[in-house]
Amino acid sequence: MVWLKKIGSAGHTEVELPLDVAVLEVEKHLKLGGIVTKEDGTKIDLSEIGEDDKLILIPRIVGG
Amino acid sequence: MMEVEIKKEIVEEILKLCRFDLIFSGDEDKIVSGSVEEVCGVLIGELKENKIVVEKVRKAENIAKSPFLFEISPHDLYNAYIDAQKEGKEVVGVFHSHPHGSPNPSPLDIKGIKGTGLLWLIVGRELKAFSYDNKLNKIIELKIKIE
Repeated sequence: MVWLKKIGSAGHTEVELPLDVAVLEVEKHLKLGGIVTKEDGTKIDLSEIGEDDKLILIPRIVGG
Repeated sequence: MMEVEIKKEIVEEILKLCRFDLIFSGDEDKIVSGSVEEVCGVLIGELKENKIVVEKVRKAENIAKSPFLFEISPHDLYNAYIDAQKEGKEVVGVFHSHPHGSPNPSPLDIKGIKGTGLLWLIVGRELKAFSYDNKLNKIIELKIKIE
């Protein structure tokens, strides 16, 4: 399982997902311009995500 | 009704960061003058049942560097998140200035409010706060309680 925490969404969303589902979620997040880091702040590529990873999804925040 | 609770010192800090001046004059508090580029930052605090309490602000780099747009540096957002975690707090929202005066959300702001679910504080001629209500499926303006 992969632990994902997304900043925002009216309180941060925390979910544990199977690896394949988590990769899809991260891919979707990256396509929206967000970034993904490990808990220590190091960036991680989609191909590097593994079982038991704890990832933070940081949204792209844009306005005008 | 959801409201935002924020200390006067925090409001003054936000206005200073945005290079705005606020004239406190009872019910007609107005904000005057402003910076050329939009200024933005992160709001840290706590989410309570019917209230968002803003306890701290952190200026962030506007990587859009524009008088009409802002984009918060993801690096600054991450650092704000880490700082908030250390203090047992949360990133509850973002703020930005509208140098041209309107305190209402632009179409891009509306997209951002809906997409992030965060409190969106806008500094124009007035200070206004917005968030997305999942139940009502619309953007709502929140009452700001300055203490």
